[in-house]
Amino acid sequence: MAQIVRTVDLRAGIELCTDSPIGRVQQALTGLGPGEAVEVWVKGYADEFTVTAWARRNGYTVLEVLHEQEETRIVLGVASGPTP
Amino acid sequence: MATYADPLALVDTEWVAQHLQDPKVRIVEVDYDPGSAYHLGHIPGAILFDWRKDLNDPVRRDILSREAFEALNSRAGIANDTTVVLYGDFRNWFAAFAFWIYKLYGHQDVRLLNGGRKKWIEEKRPLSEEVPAYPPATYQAREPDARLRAHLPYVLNVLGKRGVAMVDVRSPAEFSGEITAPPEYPNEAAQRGGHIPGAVNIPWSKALNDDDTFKDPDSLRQIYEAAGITPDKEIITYCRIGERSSVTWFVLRHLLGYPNVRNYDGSWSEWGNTIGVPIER
Repeated sequence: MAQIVRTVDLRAGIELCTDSPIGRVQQALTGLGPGEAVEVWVKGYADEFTVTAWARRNGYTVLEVLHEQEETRIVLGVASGPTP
Repeated sequence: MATYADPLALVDTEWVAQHLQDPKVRIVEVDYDPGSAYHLGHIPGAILFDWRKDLNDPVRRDILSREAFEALNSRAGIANDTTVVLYGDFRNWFAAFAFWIYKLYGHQDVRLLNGGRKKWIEEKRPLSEEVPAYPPATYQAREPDARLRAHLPYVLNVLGKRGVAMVDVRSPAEFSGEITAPPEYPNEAAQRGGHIPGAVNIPWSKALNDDDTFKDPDSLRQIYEAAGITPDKEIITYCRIGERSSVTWFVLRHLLGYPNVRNYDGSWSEWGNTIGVPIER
């Protein structure tokens, strides 16, 4: 099982202009190695879709998607091979 | 219940779903970051306007020229009588900016998707990764309507004048000068923090419900009138780069029908870096 090394919490709305949620996820994934994972918390299906679709498109593995009422926990890891 | 002043300025997701095949309608996704939005999946048939590349002058700090706007629409197969429906990432910020540009250049029928990209996806409506191509159209823009826009000299000139009110739509931390921009966007930071003297702080998001749709007219009216932002005044909206303030511009002008509203798109990234202009904290 991959070890969670970083957590990104996107559940609160972001007020500041142009602060991209994906930007924060991308930053957290930088340097992720085999056996490591990043945990992302989102609220609502739109953010769940965006994070998982972006991760897959950019070579990451969606290890887990767990729904807890209105919130979703997404665990992302690297695909086997060098980190993107 | 009161209705919006310009009810045609907004469409809902069901309306868009019913008009996906309508040849008189062009759906346009306006994104700041297409890699995190449009390219992951978009409304079927929607074309992409990349805010940074397509709606801004490539050299000067300015919106695209009239000629570039005409070429953009022509390539997109948008004619003068096309119904343009705008939506996008970042809670419709950049779609609202595009709406303001469309009105600046005189397009008659342009609408904003209420709730934007987020609502379409939340409702689990269809998405496509296919990038459509449309036959080019002939498009002629008008000279920009100067009544809808404020430049720095204009703002300086009306500062403190009776009958003029300024709305700073940024977060309270930006308004107070505690911060000027997030660290991820150093090119939007300013030398000085604070706000334009006399401006009132009404964050743009106060106009929205949790699902990113706009609040009803009575609620909106209460929000702005309580802060002295009334339709008898000339209102100038601003933020940091002019796109959050486009949302408030849209609310005041098209949802509440205020007759005299300008968007100061230079906003704080200009004001906070300009030598000699007054600042309040």
